[in-house]
Amino acid sequence: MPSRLPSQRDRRRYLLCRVLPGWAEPEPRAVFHAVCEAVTTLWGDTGAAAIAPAVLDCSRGYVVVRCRRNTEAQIAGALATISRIGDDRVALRQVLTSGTLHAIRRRMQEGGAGWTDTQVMREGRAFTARRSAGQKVDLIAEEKKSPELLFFTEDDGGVS
Amino acid sequence: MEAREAGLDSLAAAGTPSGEIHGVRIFSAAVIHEQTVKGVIAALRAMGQGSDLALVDTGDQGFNRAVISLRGVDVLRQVHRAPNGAFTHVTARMAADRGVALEFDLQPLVHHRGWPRQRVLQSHARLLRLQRRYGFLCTVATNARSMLDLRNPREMAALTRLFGMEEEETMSALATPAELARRRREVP
Repeated sequence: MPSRLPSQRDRRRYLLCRVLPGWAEPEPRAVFHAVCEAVTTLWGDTGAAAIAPAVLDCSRGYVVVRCRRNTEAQIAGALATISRIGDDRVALRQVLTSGTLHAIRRRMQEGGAGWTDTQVMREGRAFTARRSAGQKVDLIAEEKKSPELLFFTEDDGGVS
Repeated sequence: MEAREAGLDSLAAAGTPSGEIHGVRIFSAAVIHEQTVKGVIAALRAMGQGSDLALVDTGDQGFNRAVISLRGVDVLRQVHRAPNGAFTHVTARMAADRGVALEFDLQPLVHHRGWPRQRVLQSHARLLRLQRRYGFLCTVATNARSMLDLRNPREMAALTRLFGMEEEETMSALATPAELARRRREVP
C-alpha cells in the first residue's frame, strides 16, 4: 500500500508529561494501558477512537503521548485522571503540547528537566542521588531490593 | 517544591501554619467536619485567628443555610456529597450575599470511575449553573494528600472543562482563596 501524501495524513499532536514521583520508571506497556483506560472511561470507546491515543516514548522521567489534532483538550482531561500505573501510584504532569516531536525532544533535553543519577556515599552507605528538575534530590539506597527513599534538597548539602 | 514546579503560586493547606516555602504562599486552612451548626460555631471559636481560611463540610439544606449565615465561614466544601436539594437557588443567593465560596472538588474526578464520577460531574455542572446565575464565589480544590494528587493549573482547567467550566472561570476560582484570606486579614 503506498504511503499517503503528507497533506492526506492525519494531523497529530504530541503531549509531553513528566512522571511523578521522579524515581518511578513505569513500563511503556503499562503506561499505554493506563492512558487507554483513562481515555476510555472518560470519553467512551467512540471518543477513544477519535482521540487515537498512543504512547511514543517512556524514558528519563518523561512520557510522550500522541493524539489526533483537536482532541488535545480531551486527552489532557483524561491524562489528569491518571493516578495509578499498574500497581504503582503515579501521576503524569503535563508539561508541553506540540505539533512536532522536534519541540518535544528539545524540551526533554533542556537543562534542568528530567533527572540525572550520580553515585554518592552517605554515612557509609551507597546511594543513587537522583537530581530532579528544580532543587529536589532523591536518594535511593542501593543495598536493598526495595528502594529506600530519603528526601533531600540541595539546601541539605552533602549530596552534591 | 512540587507545587512551585506545578506552577502554583499559593495553596491552602490544612493543619499547616501560613507562610511562604520555596516561593509558594501557604494559607493555613481549618477544615471543619462538624455535622451540627452548634459544632461548627464551637469549631470556629476554637480556630480563633490562627487560620487564614475556614472550610466547612456541606450538610442538608437547613445546615447549609445556617452555616452560610455564620460569621467566619469562608468556603463550603464537598457540595457534591450533599443530599439532593441541599444546595438550591436560595442557598446560592445567600452564599453570593454573604461572600461565602463553594468548592468544586476535583479529587473524585481523578479517583472515581463510572457512575460515581458521572454523579459528581452532574453535581458540579448543576453548581456551575447556579454560580453563573447568582455569582457566588467558587474555589477549585484537588484536596491533595500528596504530590501525586496535586494538579497544575493546566490540568485543573482540563478537569473543570469536563463539567463545562471555562478556563477563565477556573483561573478566577483558583485566585479565590487568596482573596478570601486577604478579606479575613482586613476584617478581623
